[in-house]
Amino acid sequence: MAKRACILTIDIGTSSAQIAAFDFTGKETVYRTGSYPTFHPHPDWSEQDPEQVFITVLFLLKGILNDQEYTRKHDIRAIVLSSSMHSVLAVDRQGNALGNAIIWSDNRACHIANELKHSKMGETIYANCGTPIHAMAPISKIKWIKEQDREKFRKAVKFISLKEYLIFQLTGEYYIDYSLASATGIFNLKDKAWDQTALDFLELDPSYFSTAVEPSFCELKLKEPYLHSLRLDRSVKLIIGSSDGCLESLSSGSMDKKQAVVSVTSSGAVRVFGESIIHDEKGRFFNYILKDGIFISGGPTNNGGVAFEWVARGLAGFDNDFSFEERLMRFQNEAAKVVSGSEGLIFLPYLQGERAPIWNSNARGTFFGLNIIHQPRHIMRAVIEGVAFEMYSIAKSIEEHREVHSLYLNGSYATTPLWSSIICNIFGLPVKVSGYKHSANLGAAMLGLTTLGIFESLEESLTIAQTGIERKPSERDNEVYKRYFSIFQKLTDKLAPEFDEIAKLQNDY
Amino acid sequence: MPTNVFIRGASEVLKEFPFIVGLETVRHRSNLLSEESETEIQYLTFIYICEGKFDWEVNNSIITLMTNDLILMKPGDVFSTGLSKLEQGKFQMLCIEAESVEHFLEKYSQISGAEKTLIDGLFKMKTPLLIQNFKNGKSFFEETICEFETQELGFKTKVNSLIDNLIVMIARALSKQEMNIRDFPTAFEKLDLLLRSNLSHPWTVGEMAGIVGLKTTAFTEKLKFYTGFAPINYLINLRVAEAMRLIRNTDYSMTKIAFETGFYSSQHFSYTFKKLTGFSPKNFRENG
Repeated sequence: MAKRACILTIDIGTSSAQIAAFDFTGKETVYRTGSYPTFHPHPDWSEQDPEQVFITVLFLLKGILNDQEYTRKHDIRAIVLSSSMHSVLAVDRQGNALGNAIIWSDNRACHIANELKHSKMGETIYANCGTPIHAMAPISKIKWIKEQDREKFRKAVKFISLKEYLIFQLTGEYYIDYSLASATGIFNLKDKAWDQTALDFLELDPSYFSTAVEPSFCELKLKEPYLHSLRLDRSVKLIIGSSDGCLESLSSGSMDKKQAVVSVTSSGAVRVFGESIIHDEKGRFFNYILKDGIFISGGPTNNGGVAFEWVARGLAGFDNDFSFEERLMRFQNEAAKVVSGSEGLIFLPYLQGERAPIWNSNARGTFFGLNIIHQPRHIMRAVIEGVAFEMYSIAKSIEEHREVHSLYLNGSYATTPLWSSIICNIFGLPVKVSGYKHSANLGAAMLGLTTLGIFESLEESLTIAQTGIERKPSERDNEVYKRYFSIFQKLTDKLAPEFDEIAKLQNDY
Repeated sequence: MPTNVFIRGASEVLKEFPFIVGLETVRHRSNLLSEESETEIQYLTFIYICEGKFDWEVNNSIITLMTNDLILMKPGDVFSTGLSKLEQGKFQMLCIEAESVEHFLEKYSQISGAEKTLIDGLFKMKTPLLIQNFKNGKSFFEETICEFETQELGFKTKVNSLIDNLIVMIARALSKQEMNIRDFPTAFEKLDLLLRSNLSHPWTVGEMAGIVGLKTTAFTEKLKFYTGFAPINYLINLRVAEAMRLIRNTDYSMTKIAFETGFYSSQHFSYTFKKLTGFSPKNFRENG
C-alpha cells in the first residue's frame, strides 16, 4: 500500500506546542499537544523556559515520527513552523540561552514603551515597522534588558524568539521569517530588513538579529543526530513558516479584504488582509507580512476568554461540585438563559489593561448598571458580551481605514455557539465559524503545501480550509446591542482618568 | 480537662526534650490577657483552638480562629490579642526552639531527606499558617500530654514521633488547602514549581498526585488532558531540559548532572538523553 504523503506542522503557542500533520487535501492525520508553563517571577512578568519548549517539541515530534503505526501509512514530506509572536530570548556567543524567554504578555517594558511611543523616534519606528509601540513588542523588551539587566545585555550576541531558538537548536543557524520579524517592531516593512531607526534606538547593529527570510524559505538543514533520532530523510524539507496570527488568518480560507477574522482564545484579535499596511496616526494597529505584498493588519486584545475564566473562578462557590472545565461549560449554559444585553449590565473587560484599540495598560475591569435583579448568570453573560464589545470596538476602529462586510470566527471561545451568536449579533454581520480547531497548524499546512508546489499559489491552497456553520445576525438583537455598545464606548472614554488613578493606587499598595 | 503546663526549667519531663520550650493548655477570657497586647514570637509556635473563637492579629492581618483551627507562627512574627473584648475559650500551645519548620526538621526530626524536602516546600508557601478544621490537633495534644504525665516505657520516642506526625499532618492539610483539586491548572502550576526546585528527588507518580490532592489514576488522566503528557514523561522533559542547560552552562561532570537532574545513574541519564535528543550528553556538550 502506498503511503499517504503528509505535511507536518508545529505551532509553538503561548501555553503549548501543537503538532498536526495533514495529507495533501488538508485532512488531519495526526495531532499531538504538549504544554509548558509560564512563569511570573513578578506579577507583571511572563517568561518561558526555552529548553523546556524545545524538549517539548522534540518529545512530541519523536512521538509521532517514531510511531510505526503512523509512519507505516504516512510519509512526512515537509515540516512547517508556526509560533506565537513577540517572544525575546538573549543568547550568548555559543548559542546558549541567557535565562528564560520573555513572552508577549510580559509587561515589564511598559514605561519604556510609553516613553518611546510619545517620541518622534517612536512615530518613525511605528511608521517603518508597523508594530504598535507597546511592552509586548521585542523592541521595548530588548531596551528593558539593556537598561535593567546589563550583565545579560553585555553577554548577548543575539536577541531571538523562541521559534528562532528552536531553529537554532535543530540546525545551528539563525533565521527568522518575515512574519515574525515584522512583529518585533524592529523590522522595516518596506525594505524587509532590520530598521535603522529602531537599531539606533537600541544601539545595536543588525548582527544582533537573525537573517530574515520569506516564510516559504526551506533551506534549513536539520543536524545529523536529529535526522537520525527523528528518523527523517534528508529530502524532508524544513520550511520556516510564519506566525500564528498570520497563519490563523490564512486558515479562514479567504483572503478577501472585506472579511475580518475575529479570534478569541484566552486573548483575542481582529485581523484583516490587505495589499498594503494600515498607516494609523494613533499607532493602534499591527501590520505583519504574510508574504510579498500581503499584509495582515489588525488589533489585539489582552482580555478574551481569560475574562470568562476569571469570572468562572470568581463565582466558584456558585457551583463548586464541578471541575473547572465543567464549570466553564455550565456557566455558558447559564449565560445563555439571559437575554441580549444582560438586562442592563455592561462589563468593560480590561482586567489586564488593554491593547487595541485604546492601548491603555491602566484600564481596569468595570461592571456598570448592576441592580438588585442581577444574578450570577447576568454577570457571566455580561462578561462574554463585554469581550465581544471589545472585539467590535477594535473592528470599528479598523473600519476607519478598511471596510468590513463579513466575519470569520476562530479560537476556542469565539467558535462556541453562545459566543459566536453574541459576536454575530453585536457586529450585525454574517459570520462563518471555523470548523477546525488548530487553525495555525492548518494555515501552516496551506503555506507548506504551496511551498512544496502542491498548490500553485496561497490563494489556491485556501480550498483546504474547513468552515463550520454560518450565522446571520438578528436585527432585533443588533439594535439592542447598538444601544449598549454606545454606553460601553462612552464609559471606556470617560473612565480614562479614573483608570489612571485606580491603577496608581493598585501599584502603590 | 485540667489545665496542663509544661515549661522548660519548671518541668522535669522537658529535660528529655531540650528543643521543647513549653507545652500548655490555656483557658482564655479576654480580660485574662492584657489588653491589645502585642508580642514578638520567640519560638516556633503551634496553637490549636480547643474551644471558642478568637480574633487575633498576626503580622498586621486579622485572623479569626474557630474551634479545631491550628495556627503556626515562627520567631519574628508579631502577634496581638485583645482585638475583641468578648473572646472566651481554650487553646493549646506548643513552643519549639527553632527558627522555622525547616530548621526543626534539620535539627531534631526523624523525617528523612526526600520527604523532608517536600514537606519543607509546603511550609515555605506562606506564613503565618492557618489550618482550618485541623482535627488532628486535638489528638496530638491529648496524646502528648498523656505521655508527659505517665512517662511510660518509650515515651521519649513516642513524643518525638508525635511531633513528626504533627508536622506531616499539617503538611498534608496544607497541600490540600493550597491545591484546589477543582482548579487543576492552578494546582499544577504549583506542582510544576515544586518539581523544578526538587528535580533530584526520585519522584513517583503517587507523590506528584498526592501533592495536588488526587489519586494516581485521576491525576494521570488530568495531567494528560492539560499538558498532553503522562506524568513521568512530563518529568523527563523537565529533567532533560535542565540537563541541557547544565551541560551547556557548567563544566559539571555527566555523573553530577545526572544526579542533579534526578536520573538514578549516569547510564540511565545518557540513555534517556540520547533517546530524546539523538545526542549523547558528551556529544551534546561538544557539538550540540
